[in-house]
Amino acid sequence: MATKRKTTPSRKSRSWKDIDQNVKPKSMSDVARKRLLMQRVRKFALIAVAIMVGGFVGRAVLLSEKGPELLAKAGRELPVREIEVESDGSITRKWILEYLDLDREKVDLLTLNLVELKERLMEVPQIQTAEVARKFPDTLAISISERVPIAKIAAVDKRGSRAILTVDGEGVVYSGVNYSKKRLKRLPYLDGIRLKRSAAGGFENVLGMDEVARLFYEASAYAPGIYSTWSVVSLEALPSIITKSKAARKVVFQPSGYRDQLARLDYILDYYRGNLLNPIPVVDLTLGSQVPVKAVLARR
Amino acid sequence: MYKSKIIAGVEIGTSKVAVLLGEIEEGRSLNIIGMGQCSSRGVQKGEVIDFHEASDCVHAAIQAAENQAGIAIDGVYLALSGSHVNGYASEASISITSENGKATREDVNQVMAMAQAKELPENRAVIHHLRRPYKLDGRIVDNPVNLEGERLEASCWTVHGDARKMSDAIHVINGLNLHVDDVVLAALASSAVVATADEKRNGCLVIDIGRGATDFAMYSSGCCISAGSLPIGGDHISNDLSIGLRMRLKQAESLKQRYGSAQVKRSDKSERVWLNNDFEIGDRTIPLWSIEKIVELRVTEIFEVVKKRLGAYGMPEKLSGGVILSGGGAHLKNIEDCAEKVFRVHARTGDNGSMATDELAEPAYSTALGLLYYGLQFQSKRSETMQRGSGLFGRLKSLLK
Repeated sequence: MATKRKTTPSRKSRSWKDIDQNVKPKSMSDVARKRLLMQRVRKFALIAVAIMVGGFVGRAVLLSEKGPELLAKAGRELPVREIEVESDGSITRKWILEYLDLDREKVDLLTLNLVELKERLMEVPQIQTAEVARKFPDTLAISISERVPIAKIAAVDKRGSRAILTVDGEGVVYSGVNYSKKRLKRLPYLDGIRLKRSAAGGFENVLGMDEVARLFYEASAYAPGIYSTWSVVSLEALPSIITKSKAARKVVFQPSGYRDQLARLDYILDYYRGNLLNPIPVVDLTLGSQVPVKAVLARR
Repeated sequence: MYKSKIIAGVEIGTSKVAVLLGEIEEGRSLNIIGMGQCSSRGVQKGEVIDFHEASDCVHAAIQAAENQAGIAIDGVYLALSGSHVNGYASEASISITSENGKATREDVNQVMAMAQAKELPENRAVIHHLRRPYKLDGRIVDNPVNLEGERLEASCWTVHGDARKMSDAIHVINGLNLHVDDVVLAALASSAVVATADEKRNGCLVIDIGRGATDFAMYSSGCCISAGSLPIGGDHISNDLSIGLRMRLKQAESLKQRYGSAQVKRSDKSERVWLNNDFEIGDRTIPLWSIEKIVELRVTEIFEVVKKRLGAYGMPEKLSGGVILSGGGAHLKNIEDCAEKVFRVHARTGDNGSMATDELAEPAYSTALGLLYYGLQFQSKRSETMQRGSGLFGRLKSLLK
């Protein structure tokens, strides 16, 4: 009912409307105070009801849209119609679905335990990171990044059966999934280590693989011809790294300045090749510029 | 589409506090849905003299009305009366400067602003600016906009009152956590009910005689040209009877109601009536002629004072519509004759029958009913303004209607 009338600016006289109508509760009668209290209670109740109604309306509006419409069914059923798998390695979608035992017809998107799925994926040593997420209305998204193997290990178990394991730059030993034979063939064997079983059932990490990874990185970038010939990398003399190839049976690298060492090795190998000498038995690059080379003269 | 709206009118009189609640339907019709009434306390001559007592009775009346209607209100229209209410006329004129020589809306606003610009003394506050008819080159016009002329004159009757006394009455309402939406002079409220549009156009005078104060409003050409309040009313008649005939005020009040006449009609001066009429020891007889004479003199005096306040407007030629009496004082016998004698025009007692029936048809409820009527008119104007100003949507809506 409260109304205010517009007044012209030139009207200077005081109007009754200028009388302050705010009365403090203290100066009110008991009846008025009770009435004020009731009004406040009513106002509060009205606001509460408005908020509740607003909440219901908001929820109804949300649910009227496509995604939340399905959300409304969540309590009952929300089947997964699509599973998106993203991988940067050799693990395939099929392998993951089989490993996780995900059947689209039976899986309910909302009741899926994403944490558990992620933990199961992380149990695969080849998988370095994994993300599992719901994409409403009906999609499960799995994204993984795999370890990059830099060496392989020929292992023999107690029964005598042989297996090829792979090792990445962090020293994680694992049995590669879906690695092609060609890819495995290119990897040098890792030697001079003792594999130990871990409590989890896998293998303990191989120490010194970080240096091996650095050496391999430098070699593949600056001396790919040399790198491709390495068939064995040995950690028997850590911190020195020993590589073995047909051209140089044993090359000892010290754990720094790989680029210089590779350049010297390249020079030595070129010299040998140019002079039609036999493969070098030992090149010790750990002694700096004085590289002792144990040479065997070629038969002419 | 109109919504129903509740309006409340509160009259804090010297004899009673009357509260009426009305429901506006369809923006035009008014249904009275609640009524509360109680005897006044802490009010004298229309002014609050005891805040707590006045608050108690006003709040009780409002709550009674609310209970009857079954709703809670948040604002009221308040009738104002009392000796502190006064008025003055102010005039202003401007030359029309538009190229086509026609008065514009801006001209009208400017001349009205000038007419209302007079400053009031300290502690006085404006209650109403009652616009009188415009004059365009001397001729009276209702609306001068788009009419040709050279000189536009406007005048208004400014009703003002003591700011402190008004705030006392307003704060009594505020004390119940209610807002006063508008303050209306009691006579204006009454005349909204008792005077017809024709009477207002022809010129009429509405006199609302209360117990402690008499309010008046003079109409000409459909506009209120003068209004005010006098600190004399029915109480003064009783008081004179009490003093003149040596009796208690309560007895005098009873006598006035039973035998009071605003004009002496009988020639037999020996006729007597019992004072208490209860056949108990101490009761005595009073000459009827004396009662009527005292009442006549007092009522005549009230009318004379009103006439004096009106000045030239009180002349019979200005009152073709006659005199209309309302308020509790209008119950006096032969009061119309008394008014006719003083003003020398036709007089009648106001009838609320057009708005209400039964108890509310009594002239004592004219002011409270008038407040509702005033509120109805204001709400209707507001609705129209809102409809007009509702922009593109409103215009589209009106096209579709």
